[in-house]
Amino acid sequence: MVTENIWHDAIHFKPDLFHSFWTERLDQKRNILIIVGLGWDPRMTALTDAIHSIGGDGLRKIHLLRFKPSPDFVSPYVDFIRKNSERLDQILENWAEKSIVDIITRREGNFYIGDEGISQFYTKFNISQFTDVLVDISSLPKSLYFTLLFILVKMAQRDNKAVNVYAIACQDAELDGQILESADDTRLLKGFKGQLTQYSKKTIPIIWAPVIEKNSTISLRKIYDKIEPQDVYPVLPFPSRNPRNDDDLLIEYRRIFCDEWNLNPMNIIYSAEDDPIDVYSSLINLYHKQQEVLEPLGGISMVISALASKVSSIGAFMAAFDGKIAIAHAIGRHDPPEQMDFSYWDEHQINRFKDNMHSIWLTGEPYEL
Amino acid sequence: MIGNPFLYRAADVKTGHMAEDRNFVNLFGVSALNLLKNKIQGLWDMPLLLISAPGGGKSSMMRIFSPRSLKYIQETASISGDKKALALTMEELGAFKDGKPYALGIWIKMSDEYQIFQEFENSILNGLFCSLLNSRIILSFFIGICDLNELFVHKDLERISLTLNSSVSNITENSWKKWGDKNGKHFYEKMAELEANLCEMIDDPFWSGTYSDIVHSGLWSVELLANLEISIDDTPQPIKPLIMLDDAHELAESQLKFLFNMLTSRQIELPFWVSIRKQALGLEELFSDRLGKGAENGRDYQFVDFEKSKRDFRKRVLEISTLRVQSAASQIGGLSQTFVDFLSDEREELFLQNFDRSVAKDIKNKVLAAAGKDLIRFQGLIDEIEEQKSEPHDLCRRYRMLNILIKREIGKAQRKFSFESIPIETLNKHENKKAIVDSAELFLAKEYKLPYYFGAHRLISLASFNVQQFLRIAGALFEEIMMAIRLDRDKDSFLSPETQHYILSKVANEFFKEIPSMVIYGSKVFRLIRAIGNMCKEETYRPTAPYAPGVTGTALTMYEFEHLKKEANEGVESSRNLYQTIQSAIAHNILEPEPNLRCKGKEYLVLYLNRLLCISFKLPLQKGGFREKPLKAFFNWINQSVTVPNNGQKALW
Repeated sequence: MVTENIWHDAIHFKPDLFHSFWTERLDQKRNILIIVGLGWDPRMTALTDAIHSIGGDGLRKIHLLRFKPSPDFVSPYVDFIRKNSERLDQILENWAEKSIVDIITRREGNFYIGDEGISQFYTKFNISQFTDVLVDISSLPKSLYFTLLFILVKMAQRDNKAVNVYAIACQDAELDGQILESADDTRLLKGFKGQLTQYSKKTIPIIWAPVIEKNSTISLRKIYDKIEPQDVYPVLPFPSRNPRNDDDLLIEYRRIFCDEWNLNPMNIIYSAEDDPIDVYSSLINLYHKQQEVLEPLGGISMVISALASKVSSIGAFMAAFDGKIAIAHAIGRHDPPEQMDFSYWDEHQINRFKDNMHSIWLTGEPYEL
Repeated sequence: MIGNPFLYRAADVKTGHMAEDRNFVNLFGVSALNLLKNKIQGLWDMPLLLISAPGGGKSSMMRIFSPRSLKYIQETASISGDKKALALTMEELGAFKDGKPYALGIWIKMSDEYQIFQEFENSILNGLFCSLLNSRIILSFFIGICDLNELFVHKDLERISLTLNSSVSNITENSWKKWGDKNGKHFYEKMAELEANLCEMIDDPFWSGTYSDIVHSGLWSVELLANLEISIDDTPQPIKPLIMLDDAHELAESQLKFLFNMLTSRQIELPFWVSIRKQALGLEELFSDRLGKGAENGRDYQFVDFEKSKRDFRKRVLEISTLRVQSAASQIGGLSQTFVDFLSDEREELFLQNFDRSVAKDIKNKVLAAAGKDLIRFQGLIDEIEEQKSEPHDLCRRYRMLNILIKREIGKAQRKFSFESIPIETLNKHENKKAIVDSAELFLAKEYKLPYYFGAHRLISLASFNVQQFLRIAGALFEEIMMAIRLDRDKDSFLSPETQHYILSKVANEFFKEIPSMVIYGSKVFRLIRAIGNMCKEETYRPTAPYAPGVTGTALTMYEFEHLKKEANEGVESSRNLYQTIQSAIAHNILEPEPNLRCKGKEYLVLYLNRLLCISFKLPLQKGGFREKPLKAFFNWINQSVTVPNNGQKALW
């Protein structure tokens, strides 16, 4: 069975080509919308800064997603957030129009509704006035940007084929490794529930492919308990900057893999670190192969969890969108490194962030043929 | 690949494969059903609420009544031993009749998707909730009938026929006309389509259907199932549907309220069980075992609180551990069938080996130093101990107890003359107190770096009446046992006190470190626990051992607690934060509450640390010792900065 994947020729501009691509692209008149999350992460303004530096002609709008658990919530990292906000305002001055989009992420009882909030706003938003929509996921939580990308890609594909949607992430493995993430509750994200929860499909086996990085023990356990898969296919990063990375992960998760899940070692999948296209290919191929093999029994329900870097998570998004696969995610707080101070906003740091941008082109011109 | 049977999570939660269901039944300890035997009077007539912290065993309790489990129990009932006992207990409980399953367990796991309905208009919230629940109750009912009768859902449903056998309410009758069908296949398909529509509505951001097509006016499926006659190939099936809603804490507060109101209305015609984590109940409900006003525990519903059902816990976990070891018998060479056989519990021998004359001399010197210039008052006691020519290890223990006595006497506010000797009777009375003996043991273990946390008895205490916590601790110990056996080091498979103490300390520190990410309001709970633990440690190791054998909890007066609750309800931010923190810690079994405890003329809410956390603060495991603190101390505690502790510890103490 040959299956045509939406993104079999997807375009990923790695940091070395990022600037040249955008410089060339902004040479022509482009109407741009940049969607940014307001948070404490010093990478928050890197993309906007980079695009501003390149210049160009056309409409420039910014959606600043101000997400918080309740309207009166004050973040413990308010000073960092203020720093980002001021920096963004400086960049936007006389250059782009800013709109604030408030997203309340929790309802009474601490129930997560961030993805619902994104859905309510963006399903009513008209993106056809823009030629390019850039979603900067650097300071956005996965629980928001998966649904956001789902809606934008759907809209672009369905109604406005000419709109180019990009997912852009500033990768900094060192900083990412120091961020503390909690896993308060696990959810199937809006747009990605698949047929997983349907009782009438209960007899269909569930397979789960978590894209794994270190420090995910609690998330792995919680998601496993939530979805109760029949089989697990962990995706480990290889090749990787640290050649022992996959071995280290196998050691870290030895107890879960061997004792708790009785995992078959043949199930482990390897895909290149920081290469969303490779992650996408691995996952979508796994899905199609399993679907084909188990078709006589009604096929499979597949679930993906993106526990690795944001760049890899784009690959997870692409596979989930393409295969109508569910995404289960552990939602929680993100706390900055303990030693973080305002030196993270020094010019050399910001320049380093700007030099580490990945751009993945999801819809528009390359896919129109 | 050889797995650790204690950590094998699939046995607890995985569903879908028959092999997994069999595995689950094989590992299920029949003594857990004693919790239901205690409720036998109203088990099938009254709603039953199963409550616990995560990992208490609620889902297992429901799963054992699922059709596949019951079918397997029936098939294996002729095997003597555990399987036969399980079948007999099911008969006793009324789930079996004449050796065959009579109860048809409709086990539905609630999830967050029901909460999405709260985002819709008020007029349709409950209608959508009922609609999804109705569809799933009916679908599970059909799947259950197929499982019990070895039918295939995709091809045999047509063999099932249904008849509505008596007068039912208008809602149910109309629903039957609209959604029901005498033909099993058609009824199932209608419900599957309804469920698919509802799931699409929840998931698809661009959904544009019509609500009126899918909203239901009540939970009619319950009354319907109570009044349906079921036949397979025209043969009537004697079954009693049992509805089990698992993980009801996933529902929104108003949905829970709707559910509880319905359950306590006494209009439910079917047995209806609901499992819920403590986090979804208010502290008032947890303390009183009551579901709001008007409904009475024992009259309108029954409660099973797993953490409060302490009597059988030891038996239950020993049975579970035996079953788990048996499941790995082939891997460990059938060395033993009982887990505790692998654990050394030789406390006396440990003292015998480590306390010789030189140590006794060292401890005596400490006694002399403690007595100081008042030595003459205690000389008679020292002579009395030495004259009895005890073994060195016993001498050490007695000296240590004497040290405590001396510190207490010297510390008394009213000074005594140096010629006022302490009578021997005082020493005898002091030594006869178990708490003092325990304190001396703890002090000696810490001072001479001896293992303290070991042995089956302490292992079970460390579980804090939570099955999952027990499995985690036992799993860590069993890992070492399996490793020794794999490496052909049989003698090491019998875990020494040192090894046990080291492994348990590591597990405890991991548990403590996980609090910020595992628990709701985790950072605040972590700070609270750290402060309570440090306070307990300080009080426990005071030289006079004032709260022997130690302090393992804190308390605030019920008056202050009520005040806190009132302010939290009024929306005072700081009070709400503290109240939620305490509530979350209790709900996750991190703190064990004892409300309304009378002491020194006041009523207290005592909050004991989870026993596993006692290791992180080097505390004894006994309960009883607590130190009350004013409310403002609690406010300070949750606002101190948080640093996650390092993992593990190489040294014993």
